[in-house]
Amino acid sequence: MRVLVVDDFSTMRRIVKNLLKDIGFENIEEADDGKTALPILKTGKIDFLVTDWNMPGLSGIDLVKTIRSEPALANIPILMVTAEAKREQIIEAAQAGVNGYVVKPFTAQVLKEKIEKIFSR
Amino acid sequence: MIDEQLDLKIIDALRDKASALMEAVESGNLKESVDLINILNKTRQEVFYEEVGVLTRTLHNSIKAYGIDLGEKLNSNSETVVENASQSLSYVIDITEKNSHETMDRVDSLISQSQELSKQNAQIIESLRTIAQLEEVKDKAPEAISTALELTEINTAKINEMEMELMNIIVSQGIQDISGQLIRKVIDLLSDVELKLVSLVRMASNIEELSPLAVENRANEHVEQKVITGPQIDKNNENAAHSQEDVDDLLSNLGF
Repeated sequence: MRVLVVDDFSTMRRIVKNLLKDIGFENIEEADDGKTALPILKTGKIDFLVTDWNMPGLSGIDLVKTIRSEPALANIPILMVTAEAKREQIIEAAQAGVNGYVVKPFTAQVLKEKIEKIFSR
Repeated sequence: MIDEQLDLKIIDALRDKASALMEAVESGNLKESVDLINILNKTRQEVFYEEVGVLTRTLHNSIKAYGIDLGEKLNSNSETVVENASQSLSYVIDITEKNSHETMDRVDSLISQSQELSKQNAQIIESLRTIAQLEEVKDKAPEAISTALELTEINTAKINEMEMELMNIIVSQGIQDISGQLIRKVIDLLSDVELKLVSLVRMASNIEELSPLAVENRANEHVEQKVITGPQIDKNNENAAHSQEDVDDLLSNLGF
């Protein structure tokens, strides 16, 4: 299973990558915003997306909306990991089609739980 | 203060034109009445712009007193104190990012060493169990071998706990992302305030060229902006989630 981690902070990409590896994901790719993530997603090789919201270029929420509107990508599970914590934003993300929402700062346990929950469905 | 000044000057103008306006209205002179109303309106606008000019110049002088010369920015591309401050803040993001990666490099190295120790312990436990089956050991050193087994198993559990703690150190480096986002917001705000202040100073020096319509149009250009709020630092904001539990509750209420 191939995972794409999208975040403009390299620190956060590395943290998520470490946790993903710890729960058994081996093939992990990285992108620093939605714009660079899209061509990687369009290769059709990504099975799971973990994305931040607030990024320059194309934001995470716009990336989610774009993915859900493209039939070839519409079924990719998406976990949003973000510091955006307003109720209206969480609702917007849920309505845009994310499968999980983790608010930063998070613990290793929370991130693992949310990922496992997505794949247990 | 500006309101009081505006009121006083407008009242003066009203007092000056009121009787002429009354006369024009009573004598049914529509054109003169409208002209007088227009003059009053124009006076109000002129007074307002004059006050904005005074206020801007006062603000500019106060800022200059702190060593920030917006005049330089108006006339050249030289670096301002605000840009210097923004660069310093960007530097903070860069060094904390570098430092976080260095910390994670070390922790990654410790994690791989502890994984190696875990593997070796598993081999030791296997060997000890094989040795424990030997008749000689069963007869002569049963307690020694069971103590060795017990201690090695305890060590394995401790190494696993250490690995979890090491992973928590890696996750805690996420603070660099949170603080970085907040610093970026401050940098954007500083640049924005400086830009608008420069525009305001420029406007104050060219007040006579400005029309109220142009001001309104330019103000409207900035109304439509998508708000990204970033980390929620106000714990009393009821419209924000303050923990993962809050997020989970909200999503489950929505049926997700």
